[in-house]
Amino acid sequence: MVLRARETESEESARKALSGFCEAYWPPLYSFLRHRGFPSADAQDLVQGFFAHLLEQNTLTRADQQKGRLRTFLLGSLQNFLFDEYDRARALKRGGGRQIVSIEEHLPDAEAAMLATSHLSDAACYDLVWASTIVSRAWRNLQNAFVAEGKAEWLEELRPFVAGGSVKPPDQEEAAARLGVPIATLRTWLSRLRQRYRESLRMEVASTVSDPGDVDQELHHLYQILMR
Amino acid sequence: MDGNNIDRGSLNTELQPAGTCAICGRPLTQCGPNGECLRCLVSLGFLADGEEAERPAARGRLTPGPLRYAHFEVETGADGFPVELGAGAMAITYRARDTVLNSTVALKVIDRSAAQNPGARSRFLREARAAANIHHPNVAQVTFYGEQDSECFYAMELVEGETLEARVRRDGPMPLAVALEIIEQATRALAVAEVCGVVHRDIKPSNLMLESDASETLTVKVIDYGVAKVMGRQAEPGAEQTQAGFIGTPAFASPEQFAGGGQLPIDTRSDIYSLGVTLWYLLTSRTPFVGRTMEEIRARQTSELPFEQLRSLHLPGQIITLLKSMLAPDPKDRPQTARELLSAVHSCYARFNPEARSRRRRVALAGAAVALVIGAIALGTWLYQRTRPFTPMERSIAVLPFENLSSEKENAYFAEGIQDEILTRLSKIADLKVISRTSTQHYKSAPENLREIAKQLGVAHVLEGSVQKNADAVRVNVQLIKAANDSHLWSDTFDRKLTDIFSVESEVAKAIADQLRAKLSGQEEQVIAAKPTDNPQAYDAYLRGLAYTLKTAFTPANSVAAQKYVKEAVRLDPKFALAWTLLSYVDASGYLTQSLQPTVALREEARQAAETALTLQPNLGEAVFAKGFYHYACLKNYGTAVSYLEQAYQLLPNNSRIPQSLAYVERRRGNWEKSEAYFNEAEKLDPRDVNLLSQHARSCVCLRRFPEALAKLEQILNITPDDIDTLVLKARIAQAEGDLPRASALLTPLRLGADYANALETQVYQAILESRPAPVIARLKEILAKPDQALGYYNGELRFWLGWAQEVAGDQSAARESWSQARSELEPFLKEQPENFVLLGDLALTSMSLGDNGAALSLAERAIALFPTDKDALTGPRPLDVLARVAARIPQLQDRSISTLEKLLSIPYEAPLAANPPLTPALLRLDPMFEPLRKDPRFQKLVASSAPK
Repeated sequence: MVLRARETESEESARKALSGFCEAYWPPLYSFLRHRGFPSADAQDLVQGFFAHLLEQNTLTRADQQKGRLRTFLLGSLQNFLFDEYDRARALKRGGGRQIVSIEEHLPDAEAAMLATSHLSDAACYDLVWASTIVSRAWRNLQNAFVAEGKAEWLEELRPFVAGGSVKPPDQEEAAARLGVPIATLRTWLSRLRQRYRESLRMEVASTVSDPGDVDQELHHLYQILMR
Repeated sequence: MDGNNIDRGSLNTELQPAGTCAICGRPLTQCGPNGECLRCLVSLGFLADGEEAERPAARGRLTPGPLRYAHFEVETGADGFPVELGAGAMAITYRARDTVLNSTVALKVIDRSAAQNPGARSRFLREARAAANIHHPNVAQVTFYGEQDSECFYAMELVEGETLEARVRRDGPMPLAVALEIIEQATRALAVAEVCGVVHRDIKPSNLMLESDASETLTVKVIDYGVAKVMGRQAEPGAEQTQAGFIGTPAFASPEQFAGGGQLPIDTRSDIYSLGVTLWYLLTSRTPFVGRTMEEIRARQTSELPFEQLRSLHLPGQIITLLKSMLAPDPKDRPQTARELLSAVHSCYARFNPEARSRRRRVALAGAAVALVIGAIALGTWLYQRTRPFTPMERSIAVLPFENLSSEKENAYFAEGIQDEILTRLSKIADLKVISRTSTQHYKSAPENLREIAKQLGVAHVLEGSVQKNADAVRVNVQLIKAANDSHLWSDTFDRKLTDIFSVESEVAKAIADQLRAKLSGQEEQVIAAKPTDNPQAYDAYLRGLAYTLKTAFTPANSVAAQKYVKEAVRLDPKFALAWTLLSYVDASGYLTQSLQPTVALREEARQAAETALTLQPNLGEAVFAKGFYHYACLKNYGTAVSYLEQAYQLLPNNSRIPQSLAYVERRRGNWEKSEAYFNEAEKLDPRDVNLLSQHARSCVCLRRFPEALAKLEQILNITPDDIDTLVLKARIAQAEGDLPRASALLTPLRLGADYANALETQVYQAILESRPAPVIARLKEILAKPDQALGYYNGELRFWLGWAQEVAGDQSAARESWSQARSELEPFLKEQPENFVLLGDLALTSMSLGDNGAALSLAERAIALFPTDKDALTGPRPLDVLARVAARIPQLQDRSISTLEKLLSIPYEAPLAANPPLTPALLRLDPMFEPLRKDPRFQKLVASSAPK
């Protein structure tokens, strides 16, 4: 899983990997807690406390060695944490726990997502936010890669054809003309872009399962969650 | 290759309704940070080669205006753009009109860059010629080939339907019979192509279209025959496919295709391999070999097949053998020709699809009838009368209780047992509608108002009988009566030895089937003739145990007695599969209803009994049912339970317990509508089962559909007037609606003991809601003065209620004393039953009452963690209800209490206190536990809200 690097790399890069990890996965955990009826401030504290707990216990490397899915592992751990660590969570609140991950910036989004899923059960809401997180991350990673390759504008041109959204994709011929290529080339590009996204998504999913053979099944699960 | 799949009716996408995705047309409810449609994105993760997965219709990609290729005119959508059916890197498929023949076709236009290679063009033409020679209903035929402006194109039969890939992605894995039917048809296509010397080279779910006509007959069409070979050569060395990694085709390709470079010949055996992967995919919705690169896939192909993926499907050995042969890494080990494969697939299909068998029978019968009519019209007419099939209504029957004519009254269990066994055998005949025993048991053995009874039960025929047992000799008399005119269709008397009793049961069942002109499949004939045991003593013990399970309720006394006799039966004959199934059912029901102490040992016994039965008789419907019921009742493993129960439903089509159990499982899964449908099915088979009706009513109560619930309760009271549980449930509904006087009118006349657990609590709750606790305090003290130890932790629960009533009466010190005692009585039980959430809830509320908020919260959290709502939509929210009550008393947690209440009011569930109605605004207003929240405006808003759904 994500933290495989931890044992081999330097302290510094391990720390970076961890903070990346926490930033990636706090929204579903936070939404779950809000659904459980925790007010926003408590839910924030609990997420921080939960990550701190995971780090202290070194649970993440343990998770890495275990068979399974990060999605279910984190939810299960959080539930245990709520039960076992109730007093500690209280203590955290009083003493102002460590800031493992900066939440404030994306909090409004998370709150909005929470409200939009109020009709779901807490675990179903967790799953949905999880699925959106993974799929969005895969797109963001791809975007970053294209930016690094100096192809940000190129991607922007092609994005509406592939990623959907409320904006109607332009005429292909027009787009081809704007990019100065024959339409056949544009189609090939689109096809490659889809393939690269597919790879990005599958890599993202693969980083959350311990057995590469589970990627298809997990992806299928995410698909079903989002299509509901 | 892309599939030329069409999703009907979604071609016009010009006008995007606000808030929908411009590509897929779905509501934009799942968006990324920059408004990306997450549904479009996640769809890209799948198999399709280079194209958006599951796009309703590709949007126009060329300039507006008609596009013509020879005499084919590409259709334009409302947006003025050509209608694309699919597109890949190499070709686009359009929906087009053949202007000569005036028909619609799929027109595939090869990309110029590919078409400009002269070698490719000649190969393409050669392949198209070969493919055009394939005329077969399972192949989408190529009808025209042409070249124009240095583009090649060809026209192909248009298939209206969806690809198998789309189907599986939408509905998940397919049932075995359907998958086999599809593979059989696809194999026919391979067989005819083989004769024409064509190899497909790209058999996979997205190249198999599924067409279904009005009669819902499935037709499979293989598309793109002859294309892959050409396109493949174009694509193989190029960047597209290597970059694509293991996506798409590689997952379905044969090992010899990977070898590449023409090292190994590619023939039909390669297609057979790909079809094997396809079969695997249809059954599991995944491919057997996955990997991130082609090398990884290739390496996996030569290792063991991942049969663990199939384990939960319980596939017959013959299917495993078929898969193994199709997926053999060496082509020499596979079926050598499509013909050979066809015969293997066909034999599986014929064997594992019961419908295929009966269809053949029907065809044969029809053929025979025609021949006879031609031979002799008079005889034919007579024969027609004789073989005229009865309507479903005419093929319905109710078996009334058999009269016990033995001199010893004690032999009543025997008469009951024989009746039930005959009924059970009849109920295994799919062609008959057989009313379940629970609906008939209230009637007399030989009633006078037969016509009226038949009407109440919705049947045309009634079977009456009597049994006389004298030591080893048994006499059974049966009469089959047509209710409409009270006429006897058939009657017989059987004098047998006890050891020969089974033959009577099966003879009677067979005679009735014959009289009612029900069709029996070979398997059904076998099943009703089966002899469950050779040991008469074991059978006797089984019948005694059975009689206890047939009583109205699972009281501890009934469950213990049933368990004792059935255990005796399996001790006497350890090979008595039917008795093992009954033992499993008794144990699992006892575990679920807590009429037996719900220990781990009991659960284990239920599992072992079901498994023993299944090992002894793998096709025994009751055994499959027992396994499913165990998964439901003991493990809450709903998915597995459903798959077993559905399998059992096929084997026991008239057994109302199966749809009933399915209704329960679906309810626990939160599929309330599905559950409702199963309740209705069960009620058709068992219209007067009060237990079933009251469970259905409980569902309505959980959904806060009170008028419907009350209507069901009236139905129950018509069958069993004055039934206490029903009256009490009516009272609970009145409480939930805030109508305390109506509740009081129903509850006051009842004088209840501790054995009416929930009913008694409803009375206490009523007193608390009315703030008139004095009479119930006296009554509870009276009951608790002589506690019944058999009731276990329930005595402690009653003490909690006593404390609550005392608190409402203002007697704090008495209340504290009751609660302390309640806690010390409840705690020891938690050691034995650490997962009993009722107990956890009781303890949480008791701790809260004693002011021990930390413990109360911790207990409530523990119950929540143990019982997520997802795992159990019916009782799963109970711990939340407890939490809301606990949190209400802790000032800093009141916010959480209110948000929890908001949530509870929005979902259906069964509440923990005085079990049943979920919280309603009226209950929030009346229940004193919510006193601390009264001043909070959010709480006031909840109380003022209208009855939520």
